[in-house]
Amino acid sequence: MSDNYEQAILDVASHVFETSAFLSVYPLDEGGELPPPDFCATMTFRGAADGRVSMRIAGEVLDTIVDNVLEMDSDPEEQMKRRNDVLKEMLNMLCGNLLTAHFGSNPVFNLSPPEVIESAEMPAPTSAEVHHVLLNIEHTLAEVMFEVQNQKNS
Amino acid sequence: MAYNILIVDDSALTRTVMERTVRMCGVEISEIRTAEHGKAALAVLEDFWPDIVFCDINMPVMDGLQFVQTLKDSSEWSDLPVVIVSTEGSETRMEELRRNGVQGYIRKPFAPEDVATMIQQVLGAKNNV
Repeated sequence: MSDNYEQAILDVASHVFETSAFLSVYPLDEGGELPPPDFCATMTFRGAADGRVSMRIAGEVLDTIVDNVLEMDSDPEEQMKRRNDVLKEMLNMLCGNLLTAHFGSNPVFNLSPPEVIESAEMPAPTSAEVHHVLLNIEHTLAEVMFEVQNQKNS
Repeated sequence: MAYNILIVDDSALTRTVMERTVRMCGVEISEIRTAEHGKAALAVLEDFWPDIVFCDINMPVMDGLQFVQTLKDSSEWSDLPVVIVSTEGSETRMEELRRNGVQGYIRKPFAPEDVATMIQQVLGAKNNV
């Protein structure tokens, strides 16, 4: 993957997490071992190109955002619902902002609702063009995959 | 004058952040109500008269585009100011929404000052009519 794509994903992730949740995002320091991500969500886009954006992230990051914004809930079911809501909205913001960073502000895209992947495994890539970045979010490991296919040259 | 605000977004995170932001933006607020999608927002409008609506685009059941169109087609709500709050950054889509009567656009993630500026712009314009 080119450095430009890696930097664009890092920049967009930093903007999304810092502006909406006051959390810092850094490039992954290969020397350190970070707690692995245990939540995953994905969403697709259709328009000037088709594709998919997926994100894996640690539950403790989601809990931090829930705690800061929505407040933790003692009911495990409600707490899981809040984690998933945060996961989907962070991915939604990541996807929308990545599309603008990648394709500019003219094309119109239709976005699918984000879906939580129960297995927490990153989906297998289905596109020829796949950009995959590992990030350090609040000292935990996070993973973003940006897949692009059927790009229209209009 | 105190204002009524309606926030329409399927994300509890965004509804909560938006509600807090609106309360902090220096405008006197009477009441804030929220809805998870356009259809739920239409139900809220049966007994609530907002001065401004903040609405997401990508929502289940009834999305923001359908909701805006429903308001525009309604005799009761066709002049209700709607501000779109969305992750989408397409200027083409925003131009289409403006032609359909949308008053403004805030991109997610937003800073509190983005919301304050938009409220003052939209409600200020409304009060000058």
